[in-house]
Amino acid sequence: MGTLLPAILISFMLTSEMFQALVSSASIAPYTGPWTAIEAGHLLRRTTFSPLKTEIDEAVNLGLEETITTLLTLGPPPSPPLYYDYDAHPDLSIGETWVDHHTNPNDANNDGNARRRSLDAWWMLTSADTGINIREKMCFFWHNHFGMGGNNDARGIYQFLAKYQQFAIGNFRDLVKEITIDPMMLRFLNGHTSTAANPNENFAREILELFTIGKGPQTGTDYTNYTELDVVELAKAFTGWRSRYIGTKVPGQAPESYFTENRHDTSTKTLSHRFNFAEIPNAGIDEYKNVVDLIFQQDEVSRFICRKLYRYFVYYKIDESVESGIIEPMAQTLRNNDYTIGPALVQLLSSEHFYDRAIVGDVIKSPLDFVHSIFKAADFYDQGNLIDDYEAGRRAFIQVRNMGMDLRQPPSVAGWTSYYQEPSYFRLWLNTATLKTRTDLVVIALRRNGFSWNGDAHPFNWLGALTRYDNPGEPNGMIAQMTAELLPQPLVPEQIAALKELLLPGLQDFVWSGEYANHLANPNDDNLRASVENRLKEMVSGLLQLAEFQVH
Amino acid sequence: MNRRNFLRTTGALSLPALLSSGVAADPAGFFSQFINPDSDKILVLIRLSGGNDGLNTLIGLDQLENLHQVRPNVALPADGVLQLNDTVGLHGRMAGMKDLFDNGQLGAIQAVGYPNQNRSHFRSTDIWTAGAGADETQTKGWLGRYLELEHPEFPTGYPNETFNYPLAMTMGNVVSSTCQGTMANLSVVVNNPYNYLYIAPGGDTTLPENFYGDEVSYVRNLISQSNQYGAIVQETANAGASLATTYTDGTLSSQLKNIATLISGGLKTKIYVATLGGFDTHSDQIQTDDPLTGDHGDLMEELSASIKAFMDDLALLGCADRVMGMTFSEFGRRIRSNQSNGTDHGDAGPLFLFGNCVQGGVLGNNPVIDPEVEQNVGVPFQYDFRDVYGSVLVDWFQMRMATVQSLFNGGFTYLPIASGCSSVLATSVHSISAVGMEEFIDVQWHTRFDAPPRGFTVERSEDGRNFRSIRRMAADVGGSEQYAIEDRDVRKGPLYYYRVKVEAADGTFSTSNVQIASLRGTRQGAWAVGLPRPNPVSAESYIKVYAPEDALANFELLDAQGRRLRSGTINLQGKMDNRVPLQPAGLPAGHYVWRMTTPDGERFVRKVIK
Repeated sequence: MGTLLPAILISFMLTSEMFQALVSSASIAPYTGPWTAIEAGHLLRRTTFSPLKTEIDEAVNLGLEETITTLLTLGPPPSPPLYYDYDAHPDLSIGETWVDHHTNPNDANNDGNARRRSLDAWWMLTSADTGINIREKMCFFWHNHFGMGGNNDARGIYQFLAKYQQFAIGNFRDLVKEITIDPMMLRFLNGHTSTAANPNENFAREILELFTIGKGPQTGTDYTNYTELDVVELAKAFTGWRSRYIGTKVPGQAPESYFTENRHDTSTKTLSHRFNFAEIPNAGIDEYKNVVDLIFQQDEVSRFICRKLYRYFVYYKIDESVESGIIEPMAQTLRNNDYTIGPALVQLLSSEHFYDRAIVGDVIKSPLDFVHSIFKAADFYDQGNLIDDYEAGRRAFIQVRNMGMDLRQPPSVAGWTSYYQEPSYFRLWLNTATLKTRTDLVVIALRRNGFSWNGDAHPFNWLGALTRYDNPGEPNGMIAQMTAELLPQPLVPEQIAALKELLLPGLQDFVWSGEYANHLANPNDDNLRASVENRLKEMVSGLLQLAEFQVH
Repeated sequence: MNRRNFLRTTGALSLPALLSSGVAADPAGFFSQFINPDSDKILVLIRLSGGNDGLNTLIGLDQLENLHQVRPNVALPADGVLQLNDTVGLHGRMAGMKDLFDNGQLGAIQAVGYPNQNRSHFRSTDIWTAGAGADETQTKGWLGRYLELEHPEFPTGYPNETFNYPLAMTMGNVVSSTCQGTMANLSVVVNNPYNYLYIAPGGDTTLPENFYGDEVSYVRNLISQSNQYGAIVQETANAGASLATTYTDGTLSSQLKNIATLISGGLKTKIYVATLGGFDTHSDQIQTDDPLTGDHGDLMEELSASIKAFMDDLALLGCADRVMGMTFSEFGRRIRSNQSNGTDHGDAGPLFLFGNCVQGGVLGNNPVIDPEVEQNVGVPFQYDFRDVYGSVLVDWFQMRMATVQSLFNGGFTYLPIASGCSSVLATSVHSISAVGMEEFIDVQWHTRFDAPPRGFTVERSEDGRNFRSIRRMAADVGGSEQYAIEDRDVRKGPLYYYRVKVEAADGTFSTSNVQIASLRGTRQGAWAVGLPRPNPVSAESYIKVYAPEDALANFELLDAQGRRLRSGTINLQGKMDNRVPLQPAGLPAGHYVWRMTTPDGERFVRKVIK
């Protein structure tokens, strides 16, 4: 963090140009300030889903550099989704994965539904359970980036999610190549039906506009970074790729893409002056790789993706000082590393700017972040057995969808509006209706029966959450630790006092200590447990409804 | 906000003791206390989501035979139509709306749509909710633009002491795009007004002036708005009442019942949007054994019975004069039915207005059904939906004409549809019509009186507002009931408005309602040319061209180098969308320009890719 100006000087200086200058005091230089639970929690909230105290403590102990190294060490890929409520497949049973098997030919509808339910639940469970690992946040970043929806085949979706997980912080250029011929992408943006005689421009347009380089400002009737002609020529270069076996009911088949020589345009394609009139000679099955390489020769690609990473991890406003002080050095790092994402991310996440107190907590939670932050805080994903874990994950998925984020169906190829729509960005997640939906979940999480399925109630275990804290019987420390765990910045004393008033209305501290100790000593006394938990829930209710809980 | 209120637990809704419990029992008395009678008009929109089959809703009696030829599997039998007058009837399950029609409380407008009709649910809904043209980009809703005239800063500073109620309300879960404004949607979403979830306000503690503080403050404001609106909605719902017992168990009834309750409770919200879904009747819209049953019939009954119950309720509650309702749907359906006993996406469809102040009757002619009509043809529009919107704003919300003109790109044409309360109506004139012929406009009226009047004055206007006398006539002492004039002092182009002023035997004056007509052959609307679809082009690709009158247009097809490859003339039928095929066979792959020039020299250029 840069020099702090005395407050009186700031108010004197606040003309609009000066204000710009003030913001630019943040820089990409390595952060060397204090490393406490606030900074560590901030880093983990942005790079993982809803870290708990255990992970935040671990990061504090590791220090900034080691924490980032740990974050970027992806480790083995997560285990694939499993059947949890469908046992009619001839070759598979509950607890086994379906990702390498055909759909049950005798029961395709039910099997398809079961796979989607399983995928939904797995998505929530997997993203919640990473520890200090950036993989799932990046997986979602890429999912939003490529915006694929519209096809319900769970295997196809799983295949591209697995690619995102595998690449995560890997080589961006390679990922674009992979996705260009992904079987689902070929369907999503019409590559499948694009031929030399009738090239379809859909993918060619989006790879430029949304996936790699962006339009840049409109100039006359065309764009800064490419022209309509380039769209036409690229469309020809991508012809010939098709996909098959999506939703297959045949053993041994899996969704795949393949190249059909006679559908491919073998002419030499010539790009516009934006690409220095580059020529793309016929290269058949390998031509798409040459095209991607050609696009990536434009430095604008590095700036385009770094802006998107910045908005995702830091804040949506990019002024000139951020552009020159943050985006440009990140883009340089990205190019220096041949478009491998990791080093540029390390630079951003280690920077003074990232730890500026203005940045800590300045992102309104996405529905995914919001649901995780409640489900994880009450340890709801761990139900003790596979079936109930998946049922819990599936409940979370539906909540996320109710809040305006259908994970399997991005609203368009541009992804969710909250990540690109000027001027509101993340604020678009919240309106009077979605605010109510979020509060509805708070109500569910605090009601006696929580969610119910298969005839059983599954309450959220808020008393269990207390075991993460050092001395849960001491109310002041317990409140301090819980607010530090669940909120990005410290509350002011009167907010803390109000929360405590909810826990202990007009009562002394020792009442909580005594009641809590009594409950620990008599764990099987349900009445005792209920009365302690009810007091705690009053406080949690106040905490989860704070405006501060909507940001991270 | 004091500190004790700073955190509240869920459900701890505080109800300020604004309304004593006795008030709700006497809603009429309640209004005189709380509502400013000068600004208490309410508009209720009912969106028929999915595209209503207008030809099975408002049925031309003279077209029944042809309807049976082109849609034999879905057309209604003659005895399944409720006759409204000599020429038009309603679907047989719309008895409630027929009652309203008979009382002069229902106005039907034939074939409402727009040039270059879009048949996508999403896009056409955007067009209808934005009040925009088919090719116009308009991110705000038509009612959002209207509300922003008065509330340009919304949501900053709302709710406040004066406007402590939602400016508009959408019933259900999803906010209506009709009320989208610049920064926010001006309508509040209410699903159950009795159960508005209170959210802990989150306090007014000081926040840092930085990004973090900005975002937390945004959330706090939203919570506060939600709560304040929520509290007042719940408060008025509890204070209000619903007295009608004829609501159905359906979704529209429950929404309208909630609206009636909120109105009776004194909520000052001016605009409500209700939705009835299920109109996308591609299959089984009727059951073959009884054409009145089936999905579409059920919807007609829910629509009709709910509106009737709502009007009854408002009358019992003493607020019927303050409420006007309007239906809309993103498109009508095709003239021909499909093989699945359903109908596919079409073009224009009828629109209904209801309330004590609508001009009752049917505006427009029955869509003519050609028994040889092609499969993909919809009903061409007679009235532009923006003309309906603009007229409602002018007459119902008493907006200045010029202001409303500025809300719609290209303005609108005033239609006398919502002006039933703006003059003393002559009960002695029981019908008046104005019909455009080749050379003159034929104005006819029928009278019904006990004592013969002294005479009539026929008045004409070119804007629907300023009338001048064009003919005076003495009443026929012989007791004739039928009068007619031929107005020849008219020209092709304008729309003329006519009314008849009656001087009664006692010297008092009253006027008939207003009728509109223009000479035959008058142009309607403006040229509109769509984009090539699909593009890149295939053998089926076409461009939709709306021509305001019969016309021959010239077209050219140029290649990327500007060479003219083809040219010719297109014979376009007036006042409807024409599909002009592109026939790209024989063209090599590449970029082309399709150019069309109208007889007036207006030029349209479209990019074509093969």
